Amino acid sequence: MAVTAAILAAPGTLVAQGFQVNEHGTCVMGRAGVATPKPCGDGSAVFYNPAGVAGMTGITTSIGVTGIYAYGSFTDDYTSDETGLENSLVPVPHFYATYGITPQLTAGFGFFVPYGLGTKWPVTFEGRFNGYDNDLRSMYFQPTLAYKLHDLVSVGAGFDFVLGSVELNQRLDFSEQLAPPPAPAGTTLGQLGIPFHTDFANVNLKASGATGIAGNFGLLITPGEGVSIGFRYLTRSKLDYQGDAVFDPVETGIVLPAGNPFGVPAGTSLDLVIAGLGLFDDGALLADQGGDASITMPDQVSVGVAVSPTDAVTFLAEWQWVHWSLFNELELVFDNAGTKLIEENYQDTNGFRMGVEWIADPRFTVRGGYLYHEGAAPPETVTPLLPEGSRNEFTGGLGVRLNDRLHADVAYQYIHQNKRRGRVREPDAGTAPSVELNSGLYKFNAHLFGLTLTATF
Amino acid sequence: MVRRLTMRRITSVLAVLGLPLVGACDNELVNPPTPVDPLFARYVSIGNSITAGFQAGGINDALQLDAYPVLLAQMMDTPFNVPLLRFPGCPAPYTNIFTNTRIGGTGPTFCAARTLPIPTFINNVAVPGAESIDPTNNLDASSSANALTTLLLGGRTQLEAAAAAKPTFVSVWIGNNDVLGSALSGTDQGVTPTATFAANFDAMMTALDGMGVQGGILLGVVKVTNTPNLSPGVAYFGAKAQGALPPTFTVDNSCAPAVLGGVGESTLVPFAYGFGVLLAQASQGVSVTLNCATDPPVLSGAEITNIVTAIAGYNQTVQAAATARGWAFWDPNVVLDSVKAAGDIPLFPNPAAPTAPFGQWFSSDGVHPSSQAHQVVAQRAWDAIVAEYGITP
Repeated sequence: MAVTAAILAAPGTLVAQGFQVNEHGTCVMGRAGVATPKPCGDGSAVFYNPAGVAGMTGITTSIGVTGIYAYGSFTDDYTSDETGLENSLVPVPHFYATYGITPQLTAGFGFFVPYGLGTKWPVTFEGRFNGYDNDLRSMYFQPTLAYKLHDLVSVGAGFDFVLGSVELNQRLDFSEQLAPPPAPAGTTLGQLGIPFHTDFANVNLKASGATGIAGNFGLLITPGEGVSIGFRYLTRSKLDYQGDAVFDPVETGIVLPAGNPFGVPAGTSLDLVIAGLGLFDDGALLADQGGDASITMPDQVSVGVAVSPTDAVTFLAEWQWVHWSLFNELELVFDNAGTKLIEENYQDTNGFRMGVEWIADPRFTVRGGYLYHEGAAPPETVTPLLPEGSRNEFTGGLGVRLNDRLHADVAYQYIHQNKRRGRVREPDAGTAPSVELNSGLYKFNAHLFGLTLTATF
Repeated sequence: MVRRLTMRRITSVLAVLGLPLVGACDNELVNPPTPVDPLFARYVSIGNSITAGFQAGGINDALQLDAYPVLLAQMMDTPFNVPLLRFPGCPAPYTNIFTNTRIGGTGPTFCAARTLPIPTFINNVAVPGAESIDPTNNLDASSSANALTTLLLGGRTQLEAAAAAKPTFVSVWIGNNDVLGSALSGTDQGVTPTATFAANFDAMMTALDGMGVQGGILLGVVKVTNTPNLSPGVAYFGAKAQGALPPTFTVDNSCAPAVLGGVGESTLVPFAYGFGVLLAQASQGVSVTLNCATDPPVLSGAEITNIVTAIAGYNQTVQAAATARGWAFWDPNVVLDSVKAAGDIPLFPNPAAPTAPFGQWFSSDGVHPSSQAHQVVAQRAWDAIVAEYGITP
């Protein structure tokens, strides 16, 4: 039995979605993520614009979490069956610390997770062959230095040490496997009649400890009173994953009738036939094995402007570009199952954010915002791993000064992703993904809840 | 303190930045089937070789797409996936049944695999050779499971495969093989008893009921004795008289018409015996004799009666099942009888027309309907559906 590496194709789609997370500070979250032109005072400038750290005095530390509850579904065109995501609340932490060395020079440190996802579908979902329980995290640890060149100009830079992990669970389809001789070479078992999407194995792919580096650069200009302009560039980071793939047999439940292509008597379980193939034996194609893959966290560029017509009110706007086209393809290399090159064709994305902040009184600050972000996945590669698309998001937040040293921020964000057509099957081996494979509609929305506590000394 | 920036300027800046937001809500839609009636949202056909598209002793993708369920689905305007078999087929159809020649020079056991891509759902779950038990049971000793059972359905029963497509509407044409095999072997032995057929059929219908099927059409079992593969003994008698058979092929007087003391009008000679055995031997110089009264492979009048009686019993069950559910029923024998009465079904194969030796309505195996006949079946079935459900096409 020649089992092709095609069975292991699906992990590629995991990394080829727009799995960016931008909520790394509750103050910023409340104003729709706009911070490049005017960072918040909680130290989150380390991520949003390192130049914004310049001029911070004393010590500032903040710690917080963003709870992401994503929900959605896939509705099959043909059966009208709607299958819902089973995601739970995912906490995404952040931590910042800054120290004003001199009035011009400030040092900082940040921990944040700018790329991550989690999608969990029922194991019976028809898209389980792409992946039904998936998790990806890229944690950034960023020491930062910022310098105030002039009253009007500040610069900052951070060095990111990136630590990544990924886990994917998926089912393998027996119909996609190559048939044994005397079937002609290249004949799949599906061509011998094995039904499409016949589960015969479960694979758990897990890799952690992947490391990479990146740089985060910022520029902040204050051309006039009440106006500031910011620029920020986060470089790409390539993570090389070395993981383990654990394969477990799954019963097909198929009992073969007379005349079957395996030449076994009527009444023989297909599972017995599969067991006899030794696919899961040590050293065999589906034995537990290692696998390598590289995932590049893409570059981000942000440019924004903030305008404060009064001391109490600030309007902010920002454009963000993410270099998702880096995920044009992905190569997966498995110890036994060979190499698979997966076509992804992702496209760069633009995001537009607008926020407003109102200092209601010395204790309370109220924030709100709206943002729109394009989807990275092209129409032919919208899959269950992350049914990604363009989004409209609405935010609101409140900052509370608890005392002279403590400050708390809370925020809420609603993500409404435009409904998007997608697929639940991979293209046949040797063929490119196509919108012709799209067979239903993905809905995807999320509620985000943020809390950050900030202390200044 | 109010700064010097005016709100007008601020508004202008934000308006420019906000321009890309226009059209941000671009929702796509579910794309469900849009048939002529919601009843046909998901149509599945159950049956045997005829429903699968078997013709001329073979089946391939071209013939499968000529089958009446495909045509019905087109009339319904509903998606319809067929487990297509690669050219030349499995097995390939005859190009000349008299010389036993098939497309590509392949043999009767040749089988090409399925085409790619494998469809997500299969709508035509019919399997050649299937009898009344097969839609619900592939493993019983009386099942007719064969290589195509796995090749088309992967070992699932027809109803298991149908369930995956969640049918709203089904067509069922099963039972022909409960009598056909016996008839083509020149005997009434092995014919499925009517009680057994009824039990099999009812089990299948009960399973369909449990599947949530909303409607359907049941097609009656064909009076297989009308197929041109079975020639009246008198046709051989006439052929011999006209010199159409070689000198070594003797036709006994038992094949003569009744007026001449024979039983030729009330007996049927299967092609496999008359041509496949006797004529083949005679053509090689071996002296053979067709005796319509004593040759076991010849269907006697009594055997024919038993077969026809069984078919009538089957069709009572089929029609009752349709009536009980308010489903459509169509009896193909009405058309078949009229076509035969009109003389449009040859009584004797025509070797001079190897591509259509059994006329326009039957393919060159003399058993399975031609593509032209499938069109008629589809239209008549559609008419019955429209009448039963009051559908406006």
